[in-house]
Amino acid sequence: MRLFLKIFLTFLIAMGAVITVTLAVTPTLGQGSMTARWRRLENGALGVYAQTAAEIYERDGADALDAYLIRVNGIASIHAYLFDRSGEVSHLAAPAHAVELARSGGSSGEIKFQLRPTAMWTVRQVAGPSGHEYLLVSEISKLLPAFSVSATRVLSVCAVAALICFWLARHVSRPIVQMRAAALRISEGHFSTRVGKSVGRRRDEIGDLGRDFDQMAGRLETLVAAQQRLLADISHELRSPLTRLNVALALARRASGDPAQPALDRIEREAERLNTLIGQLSMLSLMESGMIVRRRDSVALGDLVREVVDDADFEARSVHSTVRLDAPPDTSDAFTLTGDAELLRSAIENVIRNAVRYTPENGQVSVTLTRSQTTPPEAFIHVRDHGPGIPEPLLKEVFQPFYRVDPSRDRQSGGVGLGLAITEHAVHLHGGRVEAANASDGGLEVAISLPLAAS
Amino acid sequence: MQRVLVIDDDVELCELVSEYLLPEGFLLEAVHDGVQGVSRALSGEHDFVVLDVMLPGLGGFEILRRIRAVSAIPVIMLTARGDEIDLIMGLEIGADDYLPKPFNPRELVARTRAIQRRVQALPAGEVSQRPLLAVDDVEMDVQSMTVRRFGAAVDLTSVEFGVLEILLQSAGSVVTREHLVRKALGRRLLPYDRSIDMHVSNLRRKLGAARDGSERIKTVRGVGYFYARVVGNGG
Repeated sequence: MRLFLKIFLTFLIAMGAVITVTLAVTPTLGQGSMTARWRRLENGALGVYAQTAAEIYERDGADALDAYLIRVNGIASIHAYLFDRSGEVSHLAAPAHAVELARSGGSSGEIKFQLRPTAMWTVRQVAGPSGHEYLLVSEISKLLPAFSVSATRVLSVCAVAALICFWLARHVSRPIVQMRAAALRISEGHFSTRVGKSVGRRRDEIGDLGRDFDQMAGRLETLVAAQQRLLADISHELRSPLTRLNVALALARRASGDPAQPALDRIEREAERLNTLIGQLSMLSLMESGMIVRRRDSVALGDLVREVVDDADFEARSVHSTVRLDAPPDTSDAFTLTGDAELLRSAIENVIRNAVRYTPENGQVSVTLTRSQTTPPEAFIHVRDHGPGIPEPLLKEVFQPFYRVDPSRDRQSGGVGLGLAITEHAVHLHGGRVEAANASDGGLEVAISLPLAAS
Repeated sequence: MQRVLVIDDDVELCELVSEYLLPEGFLLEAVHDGVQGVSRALSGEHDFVVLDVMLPGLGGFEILRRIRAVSAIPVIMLTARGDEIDLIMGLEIGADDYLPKPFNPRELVARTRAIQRRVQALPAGEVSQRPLLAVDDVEMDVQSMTVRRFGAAVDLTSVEFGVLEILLQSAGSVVTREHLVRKALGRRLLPYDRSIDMHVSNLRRKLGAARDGSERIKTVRGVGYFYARVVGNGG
């Protein structure tokens, strides 16, 4: 709206200035031009009108005269009335001012004119064919409407000017507002957005811009769709051989004896690792390219964290570790936010599973869930393990894809180095932050903060 | 010998699975095309169907929809791993269980056996001595596998039927998720497995709210579910 206001006010002020100047100058101009017109009429037309009126009256009578005078009014916008010494001979109900002029003009026998605010009056003396004397009193009206400067006229002129300015400002600013909204929608992942229906119909430069915008959006949509298809194809095409490999592995297991089992176990683990990697890679690239169209559901974060902790605890028992949750007793309503539950689930799950992975046997991972008192409220999820931690200068890099602190150990523990990168992206998509820090008494602490819906 | 219909466009995979399943007592027929798959699934010659979600042409969901429009034959969906949307959609349309690809064939055998056991067990009345279960306005005829609410039939898949049966039997008391998964899906509860929650949420949707507007099936966080009786209206 700022552009609209700018254009609107600029033009309105400019037009206001022009109108003011014009009105200040016009009266003198108007008077001059009015006098000139009167002279032209006086020298030519009015003389003829007066002569003709007198002749028609004497030859054809009062009715014909009235008809003639009405015709003159129609052609030249002159209200004319014919008088003789006894009064008006036309039957046009001459106004009092005309009667007065006729009386005074008649007595002096002179031609005169008189300027009045809305019109100019002239009195013309002629003689009819019979020699009888007549006076033609004419009111030459509406010569220059602006000549009489009344408040209502100024206001109506200003209103028209304001309307024009409003239209102009809207005409320029509206398509820009529309294109901005379209650009925003595209950046949110709605690649089918176009402005052709509203902006593209214009035949000016803004219309050109709108058409170019649509062309760009179309190109973007094609590219994104192609990349999305490619990603889906790659993950599908890579998984098909993996699926066959798994079945073949089971067949091999059945056909071979015990000595082969450890190697087959190894093959199975590696296949599983490949599969995880494919899944995480496609998820990460989907998020990085903004192609995950975020679902906007109401997510009960408290329940979600509880579920993930329960599952991770179940999984951690196999290495005799535990995962503990420390959260307010009733979390169902206190931790509500709008977003994609599955994305958030994998974000939190990745951090907790990572912590389990680095916690030694019989160790403990503690997860705390708290809520800030700020507005808007924020949820804090702290995941703390009792592992080796990470060298201070490398803390920021743990969220980079394929980042490893210690390659040999990490591979042993089964990570592929994408989990935390997915976490960071998913948390950012929900307007939150994630940070890693070493706890004072050893172990890594990952802190996720997510803005909550105001309750 | 159990007869299995596999609808999957991966020809080699079908051959491998067939080779694996034969000694386990499953005779496998493979179809690589959706339209043909629907007609074979409705032929009545199979005991259950294994259906791939990622099928070219008709697509797994559409095939499932067409099968479900006519038949209650057990269907196991093969989904892309990690794709929750696939999972939710599949179970919503009426798949009995799902298996993420790449899958371990042992798991496939275990799940099909579980479903078979349950389907066969029902008429015999393994878990149900009473043929008619009624709680408030919901009535279940275990023998004919029909559910009525206010006398109007509710269309349930066989897994949903099983879940509801277990919940109705212990109406008013909590059933753990582990128990539900073991009884209704015939397998143990795995971490990060939400399929039982999907089935429950389908049941909620299909049954609608209770007469007093509350949820029929209540969640007990971290434990499981229970079917709530409407209190104090004599219903």
